[in-house]
Amino acid sequence: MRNTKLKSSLSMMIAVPMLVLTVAACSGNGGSNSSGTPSGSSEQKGSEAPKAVTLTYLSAWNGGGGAFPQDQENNLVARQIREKVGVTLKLESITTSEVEKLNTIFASDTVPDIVNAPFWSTISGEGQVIKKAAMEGQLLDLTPYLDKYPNVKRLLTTGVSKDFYEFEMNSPEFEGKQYFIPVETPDGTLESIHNWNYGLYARGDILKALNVKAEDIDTQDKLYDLLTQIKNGNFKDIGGKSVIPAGTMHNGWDYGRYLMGWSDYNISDFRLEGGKVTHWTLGEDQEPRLLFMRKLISNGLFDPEAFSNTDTTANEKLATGKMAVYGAQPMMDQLSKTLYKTNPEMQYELLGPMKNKNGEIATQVATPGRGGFPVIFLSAKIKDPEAALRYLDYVNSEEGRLLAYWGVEGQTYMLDNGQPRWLPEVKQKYDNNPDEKRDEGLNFLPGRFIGAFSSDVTWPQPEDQKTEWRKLEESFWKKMPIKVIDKISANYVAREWPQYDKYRDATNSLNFDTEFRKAIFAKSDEEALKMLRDIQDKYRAAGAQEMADFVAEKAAARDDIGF
Amino acid sequence: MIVKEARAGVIPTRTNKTWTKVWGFRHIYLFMLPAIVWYLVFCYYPMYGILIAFKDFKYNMGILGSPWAGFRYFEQFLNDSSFYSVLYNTLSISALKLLFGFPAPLILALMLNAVFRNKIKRIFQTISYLPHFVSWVVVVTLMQKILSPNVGLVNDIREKMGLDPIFFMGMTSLFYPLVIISDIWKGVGWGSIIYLAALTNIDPHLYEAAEMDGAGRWSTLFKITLPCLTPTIGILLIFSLSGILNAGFDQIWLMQTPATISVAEILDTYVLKTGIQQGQFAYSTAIGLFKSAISLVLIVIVNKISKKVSDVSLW
Repeated sequence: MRNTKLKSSLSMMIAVPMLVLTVAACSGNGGSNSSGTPSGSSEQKGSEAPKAVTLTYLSAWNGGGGAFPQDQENNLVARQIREKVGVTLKLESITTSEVEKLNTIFASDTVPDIVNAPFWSTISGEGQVIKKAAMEGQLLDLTPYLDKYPNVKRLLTTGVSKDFYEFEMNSPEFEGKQYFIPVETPDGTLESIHNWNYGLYARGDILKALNVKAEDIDTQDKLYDLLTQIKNGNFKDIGGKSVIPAGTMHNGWDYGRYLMGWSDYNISDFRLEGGKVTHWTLGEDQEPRLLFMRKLISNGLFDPEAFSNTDTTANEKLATGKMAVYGAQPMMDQLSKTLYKTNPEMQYELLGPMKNKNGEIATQVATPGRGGFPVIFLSAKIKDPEAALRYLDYVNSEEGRLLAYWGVEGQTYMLDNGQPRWLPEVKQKYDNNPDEKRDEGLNFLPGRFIGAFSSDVTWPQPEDQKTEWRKLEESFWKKMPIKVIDKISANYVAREWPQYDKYRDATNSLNFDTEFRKAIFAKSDEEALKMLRDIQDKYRAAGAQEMADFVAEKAAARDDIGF
Repeated sequence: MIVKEARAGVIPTRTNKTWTKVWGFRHIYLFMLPAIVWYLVFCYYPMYGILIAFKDFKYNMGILGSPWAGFRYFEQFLNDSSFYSVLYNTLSISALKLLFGFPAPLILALMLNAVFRNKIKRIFQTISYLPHFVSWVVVVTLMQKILSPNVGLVNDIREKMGLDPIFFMGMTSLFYPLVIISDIWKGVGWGSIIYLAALTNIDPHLYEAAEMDGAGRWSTLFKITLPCLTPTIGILLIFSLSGILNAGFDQIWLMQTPATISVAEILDTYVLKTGIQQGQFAYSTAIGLFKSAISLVLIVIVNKISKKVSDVSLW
């Protein structure tokens, strides 16, 4: 009897906690995904104090957490904002695919209160996912709130290209509802369009050793020769291991930089080739592009792991000088903290700029307003949308922007003739260790919360205030000035094509770039070309060429359509 | 309890008897409770989600409220240009795992069983179990580091020998061998536990009798050990065959590269790509359901064959 009782007690002791654990594991849905809890966390600090609210925020950008301060809630900027608007953000970021994360939050109904995500178009990628979520009730319609928050309302139109605003943000399917707040947009002036400095960057010490001038490398042939010389030159990284002649950042971003010799100034998915309009997937340049990439890989000139690079492995390669040449942005934030500190002689130089197929500089192409940008949207289930909008409105006000970029007057900066300037000791601290600036909260807001604004235009910095990295970045801007095309993208003409919806559904599951990457690694050129033609055939069968013909016909009748 | 009930004048019915028995073993049932709850919550409750395969899933309408789509997504999958290659890759990897991976734990168990020194046996057992507890993320990352064409140990050695580096993880011809070898390395120790347990259940008298009859090690193995293990092997084989469409999601997903995708795309990874990456939830659920239905048919057939041939079966 005693034995049985003992057994019972023992089994209870083990089984009950296990049961509780199991049930608890199922019921918990992750604190970070819970919506704002205004009622729970609300506390009135006197009649003047704003209501204290905690909101969840997701930066749906691969590696987007790099700008987050270590102490999310009690850094200098976060504290000031809390005092002003009562809002505290719990920040979350991802190191995986953006589309994957967006689909997951929408399908599992765990949309954080505020989300920032890429929104390049509503017919593919992230934008398509977000549009579906908006139309299926996952996003909050901002229309009723906008008049109350003028700084937010201004973001919807300022610095946004007219066609993008009309066809993407105000697609008829939205029935007049507004879901998206564009950020990282220019202030409406051409000078405020941000130059991302996409290009090929080569290690300076290697160029010097080879007696090659960076600006001389501006064609595909010269690039190939340079990479061959690098391979044969037996150059080493900082660990004494052989360098990779050519590489990229995560997931092959941006291997397209090695193919700029076939590029043109395009603002749409259509190409004008020999007087004929074609869809980009069917372009005659696809074959030489593919064969060039294959030549790089088969001759050991291009990192075969580039397409499998994670953000971490790519940064590791960058920090160790492993890549003799890489294609992407200047990556100044990462490099200034790592390689440029340990091995300043390795400082990367911009190659070329590379020339495009017309012999012009291959550079960033933009319309006067930005078409495609990061957007902020709010969850339909957010408990306190006013708090989120209060936050966004404040950080986009003049006062909020000063705080976001410069911190607190007298503490981090001073005003000199109305222009903010870092306090000398603060500037020195940030120059020596950029992470200090990040941890004060001075990086995450400018990156993802502010729009219709350019700090360079509003607060131009005198030369003596600029860091050497900033000066370097500006030198790249000068070499690759933005090409502005003030026309309507042909993409929007295509939407008038009667078969457009059918085409979109038929190509929904096709991924040209995935097939192109597969073909790069095919066993032979013949097999690679066959793979390329197979995917092109699928686009052709879906009607890509008929659509291009339709666009050509419509575009011929007017002069404001750009390809 | 029965005595108590009789005293109270209650006539024991069949239901009462069952409950009496259950109450008698209540502590055993209590042990089972977390597992039952786990199954209900994680396996049975989410099962209604398979309805998505027959629906045009809309976020705002939920699973039950979304409009019906019939078998459209199943038809779409059967007509998908990737259907045959994905199915072929899945079956190839599973068949190879079965061919090489299934006997490996048995062989290890027999080898460990032949070790007489308990201390050495335990050391080997522990070492062989450890990889099971290492996640596939770690295993594949290690493989990538060791085999990397840029920083990998193997290619460093090749470089010292004046040879060009090889992108091992990107070679289609090496993909299956790497999958099988890493799968065996990770699972062989853990898989041998069941066989070791079964081996301890073999009556030692059988071995003594065989020894007296002058049987050698090999004939003891083939005439006593293996026949006695047949039921265990049979059951495990049934499980393995029924899971032949599970080629191992974590491992394959992590090992895939654009260079190997033509041989590495399996049903599970395809489901993830169409579902989570392309947002085609109904389509990917249909693929998953297709896989489950085939597995169910397989388990029934294999169980029937096994029952007929060796008298070993699950039910």
